[in-house]
Amino acid sequence: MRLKQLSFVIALANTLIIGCSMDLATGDVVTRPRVVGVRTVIENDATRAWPRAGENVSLQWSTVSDTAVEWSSSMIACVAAASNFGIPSCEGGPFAIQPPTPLSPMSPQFDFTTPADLREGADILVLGILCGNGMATLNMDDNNLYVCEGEQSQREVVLFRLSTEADGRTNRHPSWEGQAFTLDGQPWAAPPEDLPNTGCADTPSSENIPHVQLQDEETPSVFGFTTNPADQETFEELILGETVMYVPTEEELTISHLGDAGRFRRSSTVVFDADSANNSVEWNHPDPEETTIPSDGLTVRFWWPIRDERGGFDRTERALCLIP
Amino acid sequence: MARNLIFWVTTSLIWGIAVFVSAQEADSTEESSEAAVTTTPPTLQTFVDAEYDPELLEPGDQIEVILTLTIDAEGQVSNAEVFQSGGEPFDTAAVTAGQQLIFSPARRGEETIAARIRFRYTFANEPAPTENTSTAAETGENESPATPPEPTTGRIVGRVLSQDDTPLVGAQVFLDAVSSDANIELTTNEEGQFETGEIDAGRYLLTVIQTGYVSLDTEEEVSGGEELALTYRLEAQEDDASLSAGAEFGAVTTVERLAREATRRTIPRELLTNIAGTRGDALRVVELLPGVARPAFGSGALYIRGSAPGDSEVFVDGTSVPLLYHFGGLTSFYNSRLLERLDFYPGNFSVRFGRKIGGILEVEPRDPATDQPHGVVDVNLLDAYLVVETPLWEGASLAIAARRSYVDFFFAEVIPDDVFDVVAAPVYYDYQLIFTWRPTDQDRIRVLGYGSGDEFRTIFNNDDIPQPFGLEISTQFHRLQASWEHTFSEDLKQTLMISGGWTGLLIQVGETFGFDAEFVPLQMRNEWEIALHERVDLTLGLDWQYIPTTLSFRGGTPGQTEGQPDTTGQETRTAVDFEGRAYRPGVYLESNMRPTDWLQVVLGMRLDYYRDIQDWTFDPRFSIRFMPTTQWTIRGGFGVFSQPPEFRESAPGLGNPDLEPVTALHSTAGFQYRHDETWRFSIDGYYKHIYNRIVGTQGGVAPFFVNDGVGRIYGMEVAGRIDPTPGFPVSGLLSYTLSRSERQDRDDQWRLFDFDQTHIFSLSLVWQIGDGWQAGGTFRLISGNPYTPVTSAIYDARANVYQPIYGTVNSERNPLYHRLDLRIEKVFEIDIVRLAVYVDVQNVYNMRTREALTYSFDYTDTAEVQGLPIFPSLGIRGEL
Repeated sequence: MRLKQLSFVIALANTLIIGCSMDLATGDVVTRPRVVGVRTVIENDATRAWPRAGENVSLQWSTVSDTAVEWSSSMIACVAAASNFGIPSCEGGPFAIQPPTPLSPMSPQFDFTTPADLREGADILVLGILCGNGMATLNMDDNNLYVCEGEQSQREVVLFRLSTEADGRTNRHPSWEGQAFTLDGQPWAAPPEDLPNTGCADTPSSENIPHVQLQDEETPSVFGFTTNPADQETFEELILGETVMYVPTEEELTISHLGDAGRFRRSSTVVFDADSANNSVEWNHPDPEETTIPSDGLTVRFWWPIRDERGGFDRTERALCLIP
Repeated sequence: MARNLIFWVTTSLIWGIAVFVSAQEADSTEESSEAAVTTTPPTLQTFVDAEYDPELLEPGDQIEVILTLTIDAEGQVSNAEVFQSGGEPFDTAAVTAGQQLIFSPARRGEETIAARIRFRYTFANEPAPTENTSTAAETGENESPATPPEPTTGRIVGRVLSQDDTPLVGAQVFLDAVSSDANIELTTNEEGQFETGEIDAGRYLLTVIQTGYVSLDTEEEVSGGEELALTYRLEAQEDDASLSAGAEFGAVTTVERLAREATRRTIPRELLTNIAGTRGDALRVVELLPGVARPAFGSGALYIRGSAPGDSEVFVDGTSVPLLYHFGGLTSFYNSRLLERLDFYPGNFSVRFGRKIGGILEVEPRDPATDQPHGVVDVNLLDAYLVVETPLWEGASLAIAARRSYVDFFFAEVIPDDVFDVVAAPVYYDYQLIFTWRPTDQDRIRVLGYGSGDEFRTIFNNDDIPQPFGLEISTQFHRLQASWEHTFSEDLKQTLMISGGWTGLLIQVGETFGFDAEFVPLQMRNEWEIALHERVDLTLGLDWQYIPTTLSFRGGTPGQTEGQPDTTGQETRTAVDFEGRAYRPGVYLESNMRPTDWLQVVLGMRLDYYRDIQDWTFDPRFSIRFMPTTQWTIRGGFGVFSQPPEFRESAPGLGNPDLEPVTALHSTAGFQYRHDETWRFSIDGYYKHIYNRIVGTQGGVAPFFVNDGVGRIYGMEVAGRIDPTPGFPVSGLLSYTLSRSERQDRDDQWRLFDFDQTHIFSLSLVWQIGDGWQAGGTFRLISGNPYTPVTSAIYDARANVYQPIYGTVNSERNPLYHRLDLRIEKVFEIDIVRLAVYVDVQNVYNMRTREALTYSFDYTDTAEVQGLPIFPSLGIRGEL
């Protein structure tokens, strides 16, 4: 949370100032192919979020989209230079380069090996581009990684600062495994992969997702979810000051709320202690004047990225069939 | 209206955060909000020396060993490891000693917790220097409305000369007050001089009689607090007695108090409180003076000649104050009814003022009325105030004023329930007390007490936000000061001023950001004015500051804010608890030489010491004024100005204790033409160069701040003024500034200052219609502030935010700002009571100028942040 609180205050002030003149997108509604996170997969131990020197790492980018999309990507990895502000930069040249990958419906992935002589405590910086429905290009001579070919392509320039294990500091991914999801108090299971976008009311594969009658804005659906208190690891947080110190701190888990229709009451939930592991968020149904709801139903997808704000990441999905 | 109010208050708070963080000192109050849990580092309780053989070190050698200590929740060192080796046997000695250290344990809130810290052992044959440094200074704030009561006292200092400038000794000078029975008889001394001492303000019939000369009859007006300098030239009584005195320059030459500064702007009190758009607040007129940029909406910051707000200072009778305006910048902290004069020095100011490289605003309180009790009550939509003043005994008088806003009474009612929970709605208050006693003709003792407070607390606690958190902003300051002015003789005068007070600032945003600072500024100024010769005055002064400071900071990594749009991406937290004392003695010497009647040369020098950074500065300054006629003045100045770092820049852990003072060179040249008593006009050009500017380090890494910046500011100021004059119904101010303010950070390219405004134009007119009616208008036309465009954005997968990618810093500019304010007032005279009803409307045509841009979550869409909408203020004022 932390710095996001200040961002919220500023955003609130802006909202009050701007009034109703303009609604700026807050990110909870998915209207284009987007990247919503990355999971670090370390060879031989998929639960660890931070690699050590000389280990094989696979960065699996988590993408969402309201339509079918094919991805191409290109990445570099380098040792991050010391920085406290703005966009981090490399300390020297990249130690791993991923040339542009061919278009694929699979989410992009970047495999590399961390340098064997990696300085203890150093962070790895990954910079790159993900192109939806377009080819990524890599032109190291121009130092320009940020081009997607194709007029219809969707461009996402990304960075990821990956901490490494050192001095006993480790991190493990949070996990949705075993956690309960509810829709208006009823258990809510993950959807099958072959869900159609429309006609869910009559499609057999949609029988396992909840069917919900369209409601007005005054009657939101309530999504409940739990988190695993064990995922809130205790770590030694670096605190700068006249006395630089490391203090034991419990991780806060941030769950993003994303859907391809309707509006969430808030775009994320922060779980800051085990007592608040049972959470809920309201979801307002889409306005029929803005979103066409077919008579045979509209499939609405929801994505639930969870992160520990230290690089640990997991994601799950839910869906419902909205009946007009 | 409710929405206007909400955004006004909220943006004020948000702007306030930015301003407070970037400004110097401020003020605070209570405990932070309940959502805040602060982490406090362990503090050393028992130190243990590392034992070693000193013969292992050569003289001058110094070896450091840095340990990593794990300190348990009891404060005991549970583990000590070498983090940075100094070699054996020093490592072992350090570890052995480190294991025996005892700390007060780290805390998270009230809970003691374990912590790991780095601890340095230094082995030397001399004690290693360790130091805690701090700096502190102040910014200001204040408020007020309405036309003041009749002036109280002033003085006339005059000379009687013959046509060939020979002083006329023994001339008789008679003054008869027009509105009372008071009369004064004086005789000129060996220099042909006379002085009335303090006399009641008002109009006087003045007669000068000298044997052998044609007597002179004239009428003079004495304004409260003003020293009227007059020169009369009498015609010898020869054969033709019809010649009048001083025909060449007019029978009487009225001269303002001679300025020592190259540029000083003094606004007459009658004009101060009648300007439209100020709600009758005299201090807000400062915004209309040449050289003053328009502040960001609601911030109330003072940008003088392209300088940052922290580079300028506001003084009340010689004492610096931390803030100028209450929340939102609509009201200043000092009641205009108790104001004698505002002196504004946009640059090249006297050595009397130090430790600043920008400009100076000096607020001169007036003495309370000595004739009879007076009272004023003013009630308007935002606040109400009361002023009471009365004579106490012969030579002594007292004034008390207080003001309070009442936005809090209805704030909670007008905001939507689902926005946030208001714990304490926005409220501001201020008060003033002035006691003046003149026990003898040679002494004046004045005691001032004044203070100001602003507070707002709320808790964001609804389903719209990921986690409840509190927001609290509180600023307060209080001052008590006493001054003693004693005239030993015509050639020696001493002024002693001592002040003390308390200033605090609290800004708390959940756990994200906490800034809690308290200052106890003690100031002393002792000044001797010595007349060495009839044409040479010398001023010697001591200017002493001692500011104990406590500071608690919790937030992201500190760094540069001005010219630095890219402050995102901070993840590491900073926790600093700091106690320090800024001890800053200064001494100054200034000579004011008038070798001829048409030339004035002022040479000054100032020496300052800053114990917090253990540094000295020496500032020589020079100004010159040619007065070829009584109407024309050509003026210029050059000088060195120094300023210590702000406390946040040099506090250990938060900034860099090794910073040096910032230095600026000021140069200015211009002229003033004074057509008559009513109107005048001036043009001044200036150039400032700033060295040793304090900027953030590359990447914002420790030590966070360095003296690697420079700046250059140049421009031209045009000022016109029509003073209130009997028989002429219009008065007003004209101001135009053409300027450019640039900065260079480290080795980066030159860029515009965040508040560079190329064109700043304003015209204010006040029309005395008659029958108690008065109307006025103020029009402003000002360049928009520069801003840094966002060219694209990059998704930070760890933080799950899009980080903006910025273009060239301050390479684009907001649209031109323009606004019209109107004010209408009607005064009813009912027996001895004056009742005034007024309407002051700001931004009459509701121009919604863009102040900034705000962005969608991925920076693909923008919306405008707009400034003040139409803002009417209706009020009623009663005067006794």
